[in-house]
Amino acid sequence: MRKIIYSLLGVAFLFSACEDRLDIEQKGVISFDSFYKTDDDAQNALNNLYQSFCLNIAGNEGIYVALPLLFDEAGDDMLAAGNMYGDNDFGAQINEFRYDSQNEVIKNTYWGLYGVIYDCNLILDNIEPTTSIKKRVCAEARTLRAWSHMMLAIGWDCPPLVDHILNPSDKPANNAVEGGHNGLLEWCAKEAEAAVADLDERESPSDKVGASKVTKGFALTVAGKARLFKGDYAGAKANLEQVITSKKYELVPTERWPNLFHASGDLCEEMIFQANALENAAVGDWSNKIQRTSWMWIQFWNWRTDKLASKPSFIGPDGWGGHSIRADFAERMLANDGNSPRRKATFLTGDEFLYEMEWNSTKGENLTRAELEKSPKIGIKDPTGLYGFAGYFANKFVAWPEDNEKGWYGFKNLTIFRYAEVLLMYAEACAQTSDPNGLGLKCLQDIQKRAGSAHLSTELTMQEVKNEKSYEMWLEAVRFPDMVRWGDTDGVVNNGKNIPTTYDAFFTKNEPIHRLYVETSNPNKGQTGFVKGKHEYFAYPFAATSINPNLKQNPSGE
Amino acid sequence: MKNVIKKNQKISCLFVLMLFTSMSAWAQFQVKGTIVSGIDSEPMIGVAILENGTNNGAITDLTGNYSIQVRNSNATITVSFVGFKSQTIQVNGRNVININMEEDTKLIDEVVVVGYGVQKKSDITGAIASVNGDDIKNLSTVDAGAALQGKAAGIQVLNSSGAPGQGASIRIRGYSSNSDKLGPLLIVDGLKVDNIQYLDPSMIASMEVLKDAASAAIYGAQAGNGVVLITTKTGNSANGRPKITYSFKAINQRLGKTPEIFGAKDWIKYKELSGYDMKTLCQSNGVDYDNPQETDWIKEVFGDSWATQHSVTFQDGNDKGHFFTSVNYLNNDGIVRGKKDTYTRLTGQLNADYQLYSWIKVGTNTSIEKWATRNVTHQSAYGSMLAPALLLDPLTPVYWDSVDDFTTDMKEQYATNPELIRKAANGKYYATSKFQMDDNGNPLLQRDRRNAKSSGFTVRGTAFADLNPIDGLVMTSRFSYIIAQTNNHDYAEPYYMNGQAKATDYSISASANNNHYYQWENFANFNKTLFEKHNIGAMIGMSYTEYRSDNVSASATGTGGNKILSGDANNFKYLDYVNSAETTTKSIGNLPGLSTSLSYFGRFLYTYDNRYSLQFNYRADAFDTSKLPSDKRWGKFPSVAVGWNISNEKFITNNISSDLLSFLKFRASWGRNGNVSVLSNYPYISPISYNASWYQYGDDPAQHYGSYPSGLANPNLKWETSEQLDFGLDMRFFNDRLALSLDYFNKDTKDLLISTNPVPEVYVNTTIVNAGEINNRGFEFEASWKDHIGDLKYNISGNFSTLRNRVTYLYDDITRITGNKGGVDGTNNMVCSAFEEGHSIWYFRAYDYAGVNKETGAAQFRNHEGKIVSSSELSDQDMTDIGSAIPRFTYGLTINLEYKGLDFSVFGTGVGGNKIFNILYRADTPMRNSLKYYMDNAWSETNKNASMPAVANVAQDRYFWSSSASMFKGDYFKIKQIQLGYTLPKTLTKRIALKELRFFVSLDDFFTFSSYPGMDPETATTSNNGGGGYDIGTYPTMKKCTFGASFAF
Repeated sequence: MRKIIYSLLGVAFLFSACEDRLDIEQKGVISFDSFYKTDDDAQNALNNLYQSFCLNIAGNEGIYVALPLLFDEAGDDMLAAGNMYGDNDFGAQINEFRYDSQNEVIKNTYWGLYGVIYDCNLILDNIEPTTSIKKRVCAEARTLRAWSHMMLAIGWDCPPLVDHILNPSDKPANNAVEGGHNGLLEWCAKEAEAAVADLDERESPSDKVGASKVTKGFALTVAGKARLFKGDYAGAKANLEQVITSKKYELVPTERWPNLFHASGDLCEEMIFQANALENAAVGDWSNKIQRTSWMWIQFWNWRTDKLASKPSFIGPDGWGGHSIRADFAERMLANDGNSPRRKATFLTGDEFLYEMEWNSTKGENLTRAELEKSPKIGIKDPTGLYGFAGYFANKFVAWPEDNEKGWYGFKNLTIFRYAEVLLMYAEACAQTSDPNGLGLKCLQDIQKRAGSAHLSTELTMQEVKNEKSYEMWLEAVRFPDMVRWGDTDGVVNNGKNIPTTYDAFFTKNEPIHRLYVETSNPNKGQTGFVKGKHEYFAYPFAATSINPNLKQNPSGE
Repeated sequence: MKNVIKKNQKISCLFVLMLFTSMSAWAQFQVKGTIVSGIDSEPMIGVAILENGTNNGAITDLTGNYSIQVRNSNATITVSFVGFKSQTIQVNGRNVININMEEDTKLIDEVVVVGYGVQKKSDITGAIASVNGDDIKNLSTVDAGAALQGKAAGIQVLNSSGAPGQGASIRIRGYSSNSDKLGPLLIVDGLKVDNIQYLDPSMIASMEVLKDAASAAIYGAQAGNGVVLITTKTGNSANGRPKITYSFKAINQRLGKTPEIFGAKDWIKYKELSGYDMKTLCQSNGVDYDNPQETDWIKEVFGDSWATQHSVTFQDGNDKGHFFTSVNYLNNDGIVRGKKDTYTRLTGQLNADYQLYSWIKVGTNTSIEKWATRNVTHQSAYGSMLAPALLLDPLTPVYWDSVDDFTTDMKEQYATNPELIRKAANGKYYATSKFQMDDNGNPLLQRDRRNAKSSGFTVRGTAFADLNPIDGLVMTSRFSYIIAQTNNHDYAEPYYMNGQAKATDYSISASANNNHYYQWENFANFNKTLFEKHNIGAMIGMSYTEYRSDNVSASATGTGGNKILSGDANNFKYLDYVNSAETTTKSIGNLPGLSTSLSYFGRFLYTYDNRYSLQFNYRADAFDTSKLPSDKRWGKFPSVAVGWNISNEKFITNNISSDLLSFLKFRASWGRNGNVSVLSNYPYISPISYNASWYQYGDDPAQHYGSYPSGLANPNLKWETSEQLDFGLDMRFFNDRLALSLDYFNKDTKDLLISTNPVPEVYVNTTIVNAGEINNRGFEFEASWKDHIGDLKYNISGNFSTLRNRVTYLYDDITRITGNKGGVDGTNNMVCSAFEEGHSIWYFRAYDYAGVNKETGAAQFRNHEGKIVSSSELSDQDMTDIGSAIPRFTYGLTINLEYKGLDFSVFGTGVGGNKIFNILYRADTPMRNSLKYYMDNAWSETNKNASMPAVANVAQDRYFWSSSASMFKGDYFKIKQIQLGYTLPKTLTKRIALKELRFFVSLDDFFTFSSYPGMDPETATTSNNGGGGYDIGTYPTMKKCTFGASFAF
């Protein structure tokens, strides 16, 4: 009997269990419904939007920053370079106009811009602008959403307008705005203008906070640029003039022009908006910090230093030689600027490269020119030469030691707008319409004077503006869009052909003194170069069109 | 578990015996003698002797002697003992009868472990592979998982690293998830464990692999990738006496297959063919072009090493209980020179059970493990120790004597930060290549600069009570637990070799992980035969599990290369001595975790007349809210199976002699299982990740926190489920000498969790959906032959299985998922692993190399239109499926021979149909060492029929290296073991008071047959599912020569 009793007691346990032990609370999160309520929530959501902007636009790709790379590579002033043909091909495909819809730079730029738009819409859909803080937060989000759409319009013609959070199953179409491309630009301009009233103004040219976030000046610049691109020059003039007359921005002096592209120029008086990334020793480098900056871009964009006899002393990290300057452009700029500080900070000639630049191996030895000419410690030592280099040595973005405090990556802000572009856009708007008070010409001249250029415009013409903008803004992601809207695309029809490589005869031909020479090659037998009617706008990424029948592909992706 | 049935028999035998011994008073004729075991001629204690037709009986004493008074000199006696064949003997007037007992190996009594119970092998309706402890006892592997390799069909064991202490992974019947959650559910003595590496094969009584869904269905949501059930040994006596054994192994280890890479002169020649002016380059790098000094990096890195293993076991058992305890110690220093690849393990196993009353039995199985390991880095592009061993050019010396030998780069560093240039223990500087500046540098520095250590302590145990209130019903309550503690420590100093191989900061870290797991299971088994022909087996039960983890970690980094400790000596390298400098960045972490599950399950088995069997399984599983929402958490997993024992049909028994066909059975089953391990961390909701982002305003580095929704919520998520159909045929011929078994399975897995992108305008990050289906199907074939020729006993067994793996469906919005660009992070090869409908899962997607242009020596490729093109005409859309890392077939072969005291065994296993993609060559860093294959097979004016293009043509062609030209056949056959043993005759061992003494010598992993020109094809692959098959330098399997001996007292 005992065994039956004990066994039955056992049975009583058998199916005793509490299902509520399966309910376990998630850690480190709060419910969606409890957020987006207070002023603090609004500011908190906005801080996230700026992080999103850093991750989506200013970084995250590791070895390059997609948005500027995309617009730079297609320009008529640079060459995709590297160790050899096929190296850094993601960029070379764009440079040589042989990309297809699967190009990763195109995809990353497109993804990044819509990534920012999503975080803007999180704010604009969930926060009512009922207090002054919430109004400002919404205005900042609205401006960034307008800027993102403007960049999309410039790159892709008629991308979908996304002004609210979409449902997961939505498949948005292009041409959603009346007027297509121009309609979307008009929408961007109006949105930015509408935000101005609720935005903070930069306090002064020395206000650094005001250069690291969306301000009235930034919104007006966005509106002005959008109007310029749709051909509304009067509207653009009105927007941009307000930026100029606000006196919150100044051109840096000539001697600091090179610093604009390095860490020491971050948040300076000339910056209208930069994606801000500062060193904070308390945050580990990999804790989402290197992802928000150019990170290894300083290596990718740098010269192929391992092919040199020694490292030039002005360079921080070693490099992979991802870009170079086109010889025809360099020669034009040399003819225009002469030996201006701007020109020398944009590129070096072969002689300057060999003999004026300081090499680590000969540093402090005070060698004469004649001694240097025979020195094996300088020059391009590698017999394979510098692929993609056309005898000139672009140095505008080559990282300095100050950019390389972390060894092989650094924290440097990405510039979205600097004041020089505002002045040049204003000058253009005046050249297209009128310049009654001479402010347009003055803006152009201010740029030239500051550059130390040998050329000073006496008349405000489109050609003068075009030339000046190409020199001042080299490799600042504006050239290709300008070429397209001006119809000046002849300079890229032969891209991908006769690719130069620069050699040093001292090493390759055992000549007694250094002599740089260029040989060209045609490694790609296929179709390359810009085709009118096809390459004005980038392809929609295959990853987007393949799952969205409503998104019509551009000619370049077909 | 064989023992369960044996034990029951033993109890009844002894019981009967006790009755008999008291009734022998009137006997007239005395018979006596000694009974010895036929296995070892040892006297047997407790053997029952019964005079036929009477109640008269006796048992043998401690020395195996018996004495019995029988009625007359013509009486007949029967002797019996559990596990031995009973013998009936005519007395025929003899007063002394010595008897030799033969072991009973009748297969029909064998039982196999199934979930929550055992079943007679003849009743089994599913596909269960059973590996006996004897099959694996002499293997040199120390990992229970690896012991399964080649031993049964349908099981693939992946040794993705040969490093000491690296556990093997098991794949059962293919690859049924796009995730890397592909391992089977592992159950040891009823306890769910996350690895079986701790379990020495010598402690295992049996391993059962539940391959088909019907068998595995009793484990429901966790059984989608099959189930491995392991039973550790229960104590047994040796002929009625306690048994003590000691064994040891000394294992000499060395590198097995040497990679076919360049020596110095060949390397120079290859680079010249690539278009380099090597004379000039050698000159400028200080290398003698005509007589270069040569470094064989493989020899510098790998050497001979020893591993030792000791094991002591004490055991005994009788009708009341069993006791087994074993202590096993292993010390393995791997073949990388130095002490940076080590594994030590001390395990104790304590198994005991006791029959308190006839209706209650209690028992416990406990395993205690203490381990410590150190590892060298491999399978990565950066900071790897093994990649440079293969890649560093042979002209670079191992060490430099002075700063003058440095590269320019190192000189520059030395001038400013001399402490960055590290010296080896011999006082010399580590050398690095002057030809190739962009690499991992000197492998020995990569080895020496690392100091990571891991160690841990784990207790795994179960305690159970079996209640037997009425005949046929056993109720079990079982409580099982794991208490695990792991500690990790690391310390690293900055170093500089070149632009890539360097570290700027000091760093130190430590972590402590504590995990507790318990499961409580209650189940009842009922087995009864009714009206002779109706066998009924039923089981019903429940299980509750709870897992808690608590992990604390801390680290400090010296920003800008600043020191982080208050002293430099080794005894300061602990977190307590981290300084408070502003440049010291500290970080801490702790997040306790909890997960729980609740399950109900049941089984019903009906067998009619030992001919027809029908079995149902059912399980309902619920997991905690971190996996699925509470209204969707219950999953239901049914299965059904039938068996037809054809050999018991009259038309067989009447027509075919059992000497010819002894057994024939047909099985069929269907079942459904789940894979719940793919779900974690509340994937179905997207709350606000609060203060998880930040931005800095102005030049103030302070962080301003931000928050965002954690993703796009998908409240409809569910777990992956598999449905599997299995047909099997079991046959035995010639009195069981030949056994054959054949299975076909077809397994469909659906609702794969796919991380997918919605359209970017909606959301740019990925979201998780259930989409995608995979089919795995194949044949499994096992055969064995067992016989003897005179004193030569032999058996041969083999298995062979095929696998066809296909993605049968993918989400409408995705044509293809690609992962692992370049195979491994940090490479720039264009190959990727892709997951796409109509293809093998995670196939290699790359360019299709179509051979050499015979006239020019140029590489040719097939583009997406099927046209032959050159590499410059290729674009992304020409990438295609070039092969898969999954073997299409796997096989194993074992031969055992025994002659008197000698035993000999050979065991081999192999795979075929799989590919290895070698990503060691980089077109942008062509001065690395690489496979000689590309020069030996290169096109030249004199070798126009070559398979590979002219060297110069492709030296810098990234497309070529990203094509099937970098892919090799991964087929291999490996003789895992050749063992020769000798057991000394008893007459000799008795003199030194030993019951048994066996010596053996064994060659393990010694011979590999493969056409792969790299290192070991078995391990030359990255392991994760989304990126398997890439060779970027992996710790190879060591070839071993083992000397061992075992002593029994």
